[in-house]
Amino acid sequence: MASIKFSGKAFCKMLLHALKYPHCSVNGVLLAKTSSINSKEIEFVDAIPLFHISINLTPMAEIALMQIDEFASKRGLTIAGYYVAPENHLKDNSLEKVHHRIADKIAFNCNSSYLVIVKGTNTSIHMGKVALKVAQHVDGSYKLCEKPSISFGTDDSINACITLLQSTAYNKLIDFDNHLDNLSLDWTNSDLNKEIECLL
Amino acid sequence: MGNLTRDLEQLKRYRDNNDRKSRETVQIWEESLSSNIENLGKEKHIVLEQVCIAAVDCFRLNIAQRCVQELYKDFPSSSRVRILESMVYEADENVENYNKTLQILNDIISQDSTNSAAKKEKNRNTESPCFMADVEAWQELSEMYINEHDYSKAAFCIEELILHNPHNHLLHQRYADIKYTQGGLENLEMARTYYYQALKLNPNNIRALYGIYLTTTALLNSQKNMTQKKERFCPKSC
Repeated sequence: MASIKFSGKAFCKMLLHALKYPHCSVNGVLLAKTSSINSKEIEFVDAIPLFHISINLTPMAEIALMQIDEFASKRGLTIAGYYVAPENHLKDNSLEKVHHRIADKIAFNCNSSYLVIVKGTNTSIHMGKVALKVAQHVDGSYKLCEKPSISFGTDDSINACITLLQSTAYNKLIDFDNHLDNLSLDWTNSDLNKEIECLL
Repeated sequence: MGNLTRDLEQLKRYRDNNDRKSRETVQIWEESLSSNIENLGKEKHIVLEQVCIAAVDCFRLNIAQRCVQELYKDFPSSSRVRILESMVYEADENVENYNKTLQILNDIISQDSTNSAAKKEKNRNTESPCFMADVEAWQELSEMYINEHDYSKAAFCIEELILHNPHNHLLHQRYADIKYTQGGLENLEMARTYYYQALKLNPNNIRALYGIYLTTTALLNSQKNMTQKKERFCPKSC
């Protein structure tokens, strides 16, 4: 099994998205370097937050994926992962519950794709143990990796995340739902990206 | 003291606008209110209720529990406080506590069968609507069905909501979203119609615009396939 590496940027954005909407389920996609997909270590360099209103409806997801695919292919990236942060992560964190058609679609387009379940509450991040559950797409369905070999770009990712939390940076995170409410908002989060990169 | 008045005004603004700024609410509580409970004046109880719900949102159960306790001091037998208590139990991961939630709600209903708030909470937990005119319940039920991927039932709930509120563009758009997710030629046509209706009600609904684009492309493609099939099966003569 390939090992998985999350960049600080991807990691922080996933968590900030979950923390921005503590009362909703949120989802998004992960972008990996196209060159790393078939190698031993897949590297997720960025996360694109998608929705917090009714994440299980597909039309707007299709629109989002079209735009993200365009954005990613220009930068030598591929959509290779789907993440979800369930509203009540204690009750429904099973794979069946979070399963989504987007994840199938990603698996259809990319031969090694992953599904990530984020379990982050404010308090557990401060304790430094953010739980990511990772499942890999094998033979037509997602299977949970027993002991996933996850690594982060730098050890500072969790510290960076805590700093961002304290400065309430989650308010600056724009997901695709925000973008659809107001098209002038930027779902690539270029400002926030710069801020995160400064911390790493 | 100036701060306290300002914070209370802020909380009142959240309540009036129906903003779900849970984290901000909890922060205000931690910074100024928690040590000043006795000075909250006549807003004390409504603020405690607000903070309690916000704390449940943020998974700060100890704060929520403290609010419930403070409320019990003044209203030892209030069913409104008991409903809050049941919500705190519900948020807890422990299954035993979840059973406590149902028990509390059942108790309240058996004492007072007209208590609609408790019935609503119970429905939320057991997934069965009992008031046809309860708009909120239909809304929640439809979201629940969407999460369970049971789209035809979710669509039914939205139909009920549209009956109650025929001029809400968001409902039309949501109905179309569900129909599109279901897929199939008929559903796609239905979705397109509802997207148009949503756009008519609010020309600024971007989702409806995108929806029209998606449904029209999909329908065009399926029409092309149909004609191709026809041509293949019956040559030019017919």
